[in-house]
Amino acid sequence: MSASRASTASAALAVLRRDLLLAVRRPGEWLQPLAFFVLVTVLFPLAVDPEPSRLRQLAPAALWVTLLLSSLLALEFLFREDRRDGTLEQYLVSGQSFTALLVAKTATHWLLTGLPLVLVGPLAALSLGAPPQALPGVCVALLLGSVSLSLIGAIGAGLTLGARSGGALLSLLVLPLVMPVLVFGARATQLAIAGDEAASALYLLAAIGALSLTLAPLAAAAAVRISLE
Amino acid sequence: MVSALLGHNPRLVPARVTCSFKQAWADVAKLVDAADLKSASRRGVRVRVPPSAPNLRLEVHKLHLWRGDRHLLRGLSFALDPGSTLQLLWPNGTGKTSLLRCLAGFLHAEEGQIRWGGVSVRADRDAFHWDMAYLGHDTALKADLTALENLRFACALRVPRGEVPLQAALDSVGLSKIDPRQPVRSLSAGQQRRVALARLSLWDAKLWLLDEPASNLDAAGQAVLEALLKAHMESGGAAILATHHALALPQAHCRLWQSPSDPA
Repeated sequence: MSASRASTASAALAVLRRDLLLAVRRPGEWLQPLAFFVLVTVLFPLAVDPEPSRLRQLAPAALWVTLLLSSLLALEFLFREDRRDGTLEQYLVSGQSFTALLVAKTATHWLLTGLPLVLVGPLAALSLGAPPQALPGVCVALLLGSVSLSLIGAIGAGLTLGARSGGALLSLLVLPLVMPVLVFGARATQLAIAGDEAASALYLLAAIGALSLTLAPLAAAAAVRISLE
Repeated sequence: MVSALLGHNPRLVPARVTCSFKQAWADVAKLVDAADLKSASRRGVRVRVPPSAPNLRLEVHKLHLWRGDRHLLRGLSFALDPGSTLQLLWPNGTGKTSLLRCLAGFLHAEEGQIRWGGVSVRADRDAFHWDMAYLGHDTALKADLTALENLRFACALRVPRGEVPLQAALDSVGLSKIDPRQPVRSLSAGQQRRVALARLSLWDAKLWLLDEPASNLDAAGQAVLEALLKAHMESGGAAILATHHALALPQAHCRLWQSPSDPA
């Protein structure tokens, strides 16, 4: 029992800072999902009849399915490197709250892969024919949705850590879990684009976000713990 | 656990709300350990050993461990006093790594007791982890960061902020001549292992669990490891090593254990 210990908050901050530094040194990992998101949303108008009214109808589905797939793409990287080089083991025996350290990791992951999508999302919505006044609603929906996607996805990423072909298994595990996010996110976007009040769907999205913020880290920590056995 | 966040940083929250926050965090902490409900319920009644306790002894009593269908450890019992070292020289596949991983808390023994300073490690795993440092096959170094950045991060996890002699630690493992801007990726395997040893010396842990610590080390590196272990033992630290070649350590405080079927 050492006399002085680093507090959990400073340890979690250290994890966050180090992961950001690593992302600066190796930008490929987090640029990949962003590039995927931009490309796919650009492909949509090419494949569909470029009639603005029809594009506008498709926009919510296109935006949200693409967001889902790009965040799945990013999830694979969440714990993989740390598991490979033994860092996760060191987290577990650091005497710090394992959950808090994993929350810090997930937060960094969202900052690097979720937030850029939220920032690019409005542009993609414009290219799909959404009117400019719909953008605030779309932005809030994407923000709330991407947070939930990262948090819930962390459970799947933890569970598939030990699996050999983790990628496919990860999508099978996570996609059913995030269906509510897709349903309410697409609905909110649809309402915003039609110029209606999107608040009800946004509230539900926020509720899912709050639920995943409180419960998902515990489940993710338990999942990672099991995969380290 | 989570309560450490507020428990050790009273300045973070005004005194009036500390109490309810503490309570809330404690509840969360219990949930975190939901997989191990026993430990949560015992946490309330555990007896804490004061930091100056003279006898931080590791006691393992009748440990049984299964890996799949194999009954790997069959009723293993031993004790390790402060200032002493145990070298496991068991043959391949007899459970050296599994024993270390079990002691570290990655694996759960089916039966048996592990006590640290008289307290079951299951009752207060965090307190045990504070006192323990584990170095496995993987060095847990980030290939894209420099040696110093890796050490700085490792210290931020455990040691309160302040002047930590990072460069001195690197010097002491014979890495004073490496380019400070060089990422760990470009160091040799032996040099990476030395960085991991430097990290170990910075953590100020009472118990070291080392799995093949001498792998990839040259003769000079092995001497560095032996010097580190000697200093650790002299300051009252204990260590368990899984290794194939016994290290030269003071014989009075170093036991060699040839096979799990021998008595310790």
